[in-house]
Amino acid sequence: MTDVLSKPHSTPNDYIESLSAEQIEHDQIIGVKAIRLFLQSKTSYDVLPVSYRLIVLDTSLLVKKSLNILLQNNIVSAPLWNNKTSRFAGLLTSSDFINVIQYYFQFPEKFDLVDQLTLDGLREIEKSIGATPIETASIHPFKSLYEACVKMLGAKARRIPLIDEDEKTRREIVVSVLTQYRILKFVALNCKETKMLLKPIKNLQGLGTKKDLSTCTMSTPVIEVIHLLANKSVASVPIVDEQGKLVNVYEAVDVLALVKGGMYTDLDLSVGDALLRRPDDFEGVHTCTLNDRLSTIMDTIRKSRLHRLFVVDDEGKLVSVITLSDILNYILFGED
Amino acid sequence: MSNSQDSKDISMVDVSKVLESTVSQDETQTLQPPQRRKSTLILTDEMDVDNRNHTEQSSGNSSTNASGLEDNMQVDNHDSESGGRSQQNEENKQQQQQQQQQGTEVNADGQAAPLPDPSVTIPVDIKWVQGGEKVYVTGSFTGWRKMIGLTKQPDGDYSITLGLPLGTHRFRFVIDNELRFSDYLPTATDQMGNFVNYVEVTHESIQSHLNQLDDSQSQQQDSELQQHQQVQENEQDKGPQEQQQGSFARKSSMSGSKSRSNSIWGLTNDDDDMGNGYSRYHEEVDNDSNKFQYITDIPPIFTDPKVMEQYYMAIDKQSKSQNGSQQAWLHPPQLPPHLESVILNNFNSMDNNSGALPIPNHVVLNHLATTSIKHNTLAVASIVRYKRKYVTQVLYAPLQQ
Repeated sequence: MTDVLSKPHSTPNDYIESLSAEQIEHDQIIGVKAIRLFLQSKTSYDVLPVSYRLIVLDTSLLVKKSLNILLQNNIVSAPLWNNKTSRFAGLLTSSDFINVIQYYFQFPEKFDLVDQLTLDGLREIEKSIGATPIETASIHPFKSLYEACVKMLGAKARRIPLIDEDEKTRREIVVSVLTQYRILKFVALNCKETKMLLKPIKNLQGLGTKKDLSTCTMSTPVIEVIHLLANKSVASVPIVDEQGKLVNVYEAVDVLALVKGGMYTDLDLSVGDALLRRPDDFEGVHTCTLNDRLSTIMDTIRKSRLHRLFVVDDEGKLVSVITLSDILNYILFGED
Repeated sequence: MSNSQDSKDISMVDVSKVLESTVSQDETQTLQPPQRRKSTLILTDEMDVDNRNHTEQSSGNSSTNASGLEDNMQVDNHDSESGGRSQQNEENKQQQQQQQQQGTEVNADGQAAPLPDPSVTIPVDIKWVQGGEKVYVTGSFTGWRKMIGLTKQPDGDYSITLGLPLGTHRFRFVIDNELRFSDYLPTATDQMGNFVNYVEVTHESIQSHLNQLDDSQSQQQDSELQQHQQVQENEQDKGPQEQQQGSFARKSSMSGSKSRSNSIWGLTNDDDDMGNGYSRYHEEVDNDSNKFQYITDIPPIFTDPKVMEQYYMAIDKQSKSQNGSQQAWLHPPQLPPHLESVILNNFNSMDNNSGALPIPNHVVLNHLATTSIKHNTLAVASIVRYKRKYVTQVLYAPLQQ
């Protein structure tokens, strides 16, 4: 990068194109290592704002009420508190609602049970439909972000609660919950080495390899998509048209709007109709191509809230997906 | 002013007597909260009972406070107070030390050290040594409203002795109509970003002051007579004293009575050794938590109409004797204005996915805010510190069915 002035280039992209493959490879490795050091030097506590809110739900709340609370507060997950044991009782996430929907679909005669279900009863529902309970990994706020990422990837979790101990009662307290997106945004905002990640993603381990994706079309019944979300344990299913072009996505968090108000009767809607319930502030579907670079993706993460990027070809046909876990996994363990 | 006094009166009612009349003796053993309430709120009464040895002087002090100066501030004659004491100081030093030692022995036996009466004030010398003609001081002790003039000393410096209660007092000087702070006193930035001087009146400084008063009492039985005599003495001794004062003004009030001034000005802040064999008093946290325990029983005053009625009658009786308004208990005390702005209400959930809130003013910490009950669900919120950050926790819970 020393000869930037000697060779004039019309655009920054021309300049990057002019770099030798060795140079780019070299920069990429330095960049990844620098980000890794950054993650090791910073703690989860560092990511937290000086003052922030944390919404906690009592486990004796009804599931349908807790859904309203999530929607009201514009959040998709919340830590739970068991008032009988005075202890943290895990996280409520969209997958819990997917479990309830699947349970109701299997046992439609048990509407009363579903209607009066409390958060305490969620584990029972899980068992009876044979869903494997998600192991909630947690971490102390003063452990490094690197450790937090390793734990999250190990538990296949998209968020991790920060747990500390109360000094007086010695009981665990929930300090906050960090998501993969917040950690990556923190990196994108505070780690200038992300600009050194110039290798096209098609050459990156884990990111470039094409994945076998389950897709659906606009007319697929939404319950089938929900089954897909659960069975494949994915957070989204891309919606494509007849030519295989990406048109939209159904996300796990979209089920919150679907069953809002305890209505489990609309499960035979098509995905297209179900998406009409989506709130207006939907972030949109983010895409990239195999020629894009991680530096550009990190730039996008810095600017907008995204949870995955669909890889499309020049015609807009769906090729693959890059999730935030993929990116974290590459930063933590790639280029070794 | 009148509002806060009203609410104070209510809280000062001795609930324990009401209880004893309706509840049998062994039951009162288990009823912790009213007792605890008494001990936390009615400090004045307890002090009088517990510490007979210094009642004369301290109650004299507090009564002038309550009735005379509504700002809870006492302006003493500088000469009579500190001059008299510095004379007695040397004689009493040994006796003081003994008393202090006795005091610590009592602590070791497990008896809790009596908290100082909140209305007890101790004389604090405030000096201005940076010139000027009209020298005033104003501060948190007058609500920043009144200005108190400083007296010019023979050496050209200005000084005044204020009676200040327990706590941290912020102040600034008004020198020839210009607001200034002293370079020779501790400074800090207050909440609004103003640079101010401050003085800290600590438990130990009050305690040592009370000990001094005890000593003087043992020498002279009648405190009024003593004050009278002091004034007379001072008038006689004016000559030598003026010289003495000139010398200790330059040392910024350190030499007067060492044990007191050192700790007040925070000059020995980093050092536990307070000189003269005294060491800094550290509050033991464990001791505190052993004293009270949390229980889940609701005090009968909230559940038993009989007890409740008697409580209200007691309040009315008390306010009648003080010519206060009747049935003041019908109206809840006003919400302090700083609690009215709830930062959660300023939360904008759009484009704010980290849940960031404005930084709260420290006075709102550890308060409980609630929503109205909607759909059988109640949300309560409290702002607490987590290390150097603030967590506003909102807990949603259903009503018990």
